[in-house]
Amino acid sequence: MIMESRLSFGRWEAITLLLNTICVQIFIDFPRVMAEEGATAGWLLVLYNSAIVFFIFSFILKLFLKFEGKDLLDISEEIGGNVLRVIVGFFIIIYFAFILSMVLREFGEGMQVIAFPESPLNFIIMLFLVGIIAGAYFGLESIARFHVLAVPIIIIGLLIILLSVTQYYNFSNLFPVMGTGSYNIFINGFHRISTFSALIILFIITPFLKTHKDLKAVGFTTIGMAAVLLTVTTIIYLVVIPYPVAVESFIPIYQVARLIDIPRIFERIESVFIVIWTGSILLYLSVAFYFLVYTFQKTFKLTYYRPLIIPFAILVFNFSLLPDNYLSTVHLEAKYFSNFAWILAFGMTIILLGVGNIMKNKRQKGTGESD
Amino acid sequence: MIKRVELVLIILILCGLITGCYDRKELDDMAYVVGIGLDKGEANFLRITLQVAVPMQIAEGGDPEDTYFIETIEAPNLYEGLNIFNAFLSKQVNLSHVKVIVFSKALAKEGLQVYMNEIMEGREFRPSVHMVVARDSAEEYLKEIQPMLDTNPAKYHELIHKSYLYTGFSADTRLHNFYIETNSEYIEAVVPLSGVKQNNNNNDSEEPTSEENLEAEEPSEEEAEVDGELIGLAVFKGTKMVGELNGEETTYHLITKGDLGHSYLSIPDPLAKDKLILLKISQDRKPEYQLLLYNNKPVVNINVILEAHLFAVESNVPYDNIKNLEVLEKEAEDYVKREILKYLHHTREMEVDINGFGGMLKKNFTTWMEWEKFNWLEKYKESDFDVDVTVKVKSSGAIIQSIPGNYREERKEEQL
Repeated sequence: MIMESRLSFGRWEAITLLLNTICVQIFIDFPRVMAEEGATAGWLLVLYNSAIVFFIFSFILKLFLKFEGKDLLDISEEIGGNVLRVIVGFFIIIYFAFILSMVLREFGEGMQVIAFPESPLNFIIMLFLVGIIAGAYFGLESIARFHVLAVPIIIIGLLIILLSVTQYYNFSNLFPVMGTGSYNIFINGFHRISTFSALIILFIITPFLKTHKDLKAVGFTTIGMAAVLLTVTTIIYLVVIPYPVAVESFIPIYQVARLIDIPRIFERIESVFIVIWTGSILLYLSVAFYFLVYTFQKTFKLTYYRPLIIPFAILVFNFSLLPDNYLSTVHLEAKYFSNFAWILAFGMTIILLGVGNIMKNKRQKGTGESD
Repeated sequence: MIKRVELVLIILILCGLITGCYDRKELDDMAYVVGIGLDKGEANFLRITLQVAVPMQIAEGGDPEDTYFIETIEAPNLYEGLNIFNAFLSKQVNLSHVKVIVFSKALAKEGLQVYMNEIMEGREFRPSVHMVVARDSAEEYLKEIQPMLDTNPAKYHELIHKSYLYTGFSADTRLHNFYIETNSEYIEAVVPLSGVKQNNNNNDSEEPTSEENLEAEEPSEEEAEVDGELIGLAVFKGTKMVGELNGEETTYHLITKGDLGHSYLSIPDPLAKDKLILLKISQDRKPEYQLLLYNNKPVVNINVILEAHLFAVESNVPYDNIKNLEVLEKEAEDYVKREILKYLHHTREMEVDINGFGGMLKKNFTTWMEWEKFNWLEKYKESDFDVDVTVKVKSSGAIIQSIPGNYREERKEEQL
C-alpha cells in the first residue's frame, strides 16, 4: 500500500492502458455486434456512441474538479463514509469480476477454435491465468509500462491486417447509410456506450495521475483514439464482409486476416493476428484482474493486495467456466454487460460526483471557506 | 538469488507449456488434401472424392501423375466422409491446403446450401479455396486432370484458376466471395464450369441440357490429350444453379464486370466479306455504370472501354491506314456491344444479376428494411440495358506498315 501511494505514471502509460482496455473488443466480437445492431450503419453507431461518451466525460471532468487526486472510492467515502465506499466498491468488483470471467472464457473458446482444437478449455484458460497472476504480482506500474511498448505494436499489427485486404473493399456495402434505422441506432443503440465502460479505470487511477489536467488529457485522448480505431475497424469490416454475412463471423478480425492471400508470398497471415490478439487480450486481462484485486483491497482497506491474487484467480477461473458454452457467454455479455455496464461506469460516477459536488458546495456555503 | 532461480524455472516451464504441445501434430503425420469433389451418390449419400498430395514425390520432382492420388467414398455428409477416409488412410486428413472444391452439376442444381454450411463451419477451409462446378462428375474431373507442366498439384490448381486473366473463359470464384454472393441481396454468384474434354466424343451429360443452357464454345486451337478444362460459368440463384454461360458469354461477363485481363476476339472484317480479323482485347479501366429507375423499371447504362491490338487480318485490307482503322474500331464496338447485350439479355432471362448492378441502387435507400423491401433481385428481370462500347485499336503488333495486299500480282502483271 505504501508502494502504491508513491506510484505514478505518465499520460502516455495511462492512455495506452485505457486504449487497449477499450479497444480489446475489436479482437473479440465488436465489429460483428455493431453490424448486428446497426447493419450497414454499424460504424455510425460507433461514432454516435463516441460522441455521447465525449460529452459525458466532459461533464464528469467538470465534476472531478473539486476532487483532484481522488478516485471513486475516496469520493464515495467522503460522501457516505465506509458504507457507501463498500457499496460502490462492491459494484466495481462485480463489474471487473464479470467482464474478466466473460472475456477469459470467450478468449479461451476462441483459442480453442482457431489454434488449439484438441486442448481442453480449462487448460488454455489456466495458462493465461498464470500470465494474469504474474502481471498482478508485478503491479500496475509494470503493467502500464508494458502497455507503452506493446500497444503501438498491436495497433500497427491491426492496421496492417486492415490495409492488406484492400482488394476486398466494396464501399457499396456501407449503404443504405442508416442501416437498421435511426430509432435503432440513436435510441436503442444508446446502451452501446457500454463499449467505453472501461473508462471506469480512469476514475480509479486518478490518484496515480498527477493533476486534473492529466486526467483531462488522458481521457480525451483515449476517447478520441478509441473512437477512431473502433470506427475504422467497423467500417473496414463492413466493406470487406457485407451485412448480413457480417453478423455470422466468429472473431471478425480473424476472418478478415484469413482473407490476406498473396499466393506463395503472403499466406496464412492470421498467425500474426493470433500473436497480436493474444497480446492485447492478455494485457487487458492483466489490467482488469489487477483492478479487481486493487479495488477489493481499497474497498476493505486492506494493507496488501498480493495475498488476494491467488484466491481471486481461482474465483475468476471458476466463474469463467460457469457458462455452458460460447454462445451462453456471448448471450450473458450481451444481456447484462452491454445493457448495464454504462450505468455503472457513467451513471454511478455522475451520481457520486454530483452528490459530492453538492455536499462540498453546501459545506463551503456553511463554513464560508473556499476550497 | 533463490527468487531469481525460481522465476527462471517458472518462465522456462511456461515457455514449454504455451507452445501448444497438446495440439501438436507432425507435418509428416498428415495427409494434405488439395482437391475435393462432391457428387451425388446413391440413396441420398454424398460421393466424396479427395485428391491428396504426395509430398515426397513433389519434393523429388517425380512424374506429375505420381504427385497425388485420388480416393472416392460415399457418406451421408462431408465430415463423416472424411472420418471414413481417416479410417483407411495411414495419415490424418488435413484440409488446410485444399485449393479447389468441385461440385457436380447435379448437386449444384439441387442446391449447395447444406454443403456450404458444412464447409463454412470448418475451421480448416480457407476463404481463398477455388470453387468449380463440373459439367459431368466432380470425381471424373479430379481424376482426369493431368498437370503436365507442374509437379505440384496445388500449384496447378492455383495457376489454372488464374487462366481467366488471359483467356477470358472463366472467372475466379473463391469460397469467400461465393458465400457472400449467395447471401447477397444485389448480386448472384457464378462459378467456373469445368469439363472433361473427350476428343471427338459428346460429353456424357447426366442432365439433359435445358433450352437456356448453351453449349460451351471450344477454343479455336485443337487440343491433344488435354483433359480438365475451365470454360464457361455456372450461374446461381442463391445456392442453386439455374443456368450456364458459354465461353464467349463468360468473356462478356468479365468485360461488363471489369475483370477481364486480356483475351482474343475474332470479328468479321468490315471491309472484306467472309473474312475475320483477330484482335487482342484488354480492359484497363473498369466500366462505368448508371442505374436509373423509370416508373420503377430499372434501366442500366453501361459504358465499356476496351483496348485492342490488331493481331491478324485474313484479308489483304491494310488496317494500318487511319481511315480503315476507324472503320475497324466502329465494327469492333458494334460487335462487342451486340454481344454484351446478348449476354445481358441472357442473364435477364435467367433472372440473375451476376454483375451486381443492384449495388448502385443501395444509396437511394435510407434503411436496410427499405432496401430489402425493394427486392432488387426480383426486379432485375424487368431491366433494360443501354450499352456503350469504345474500342481503341492501339497497335498492330510487330508490323507497323503492311505491304499492299495484291503487291505480288501487280508486280507480275508489270513484268508481263
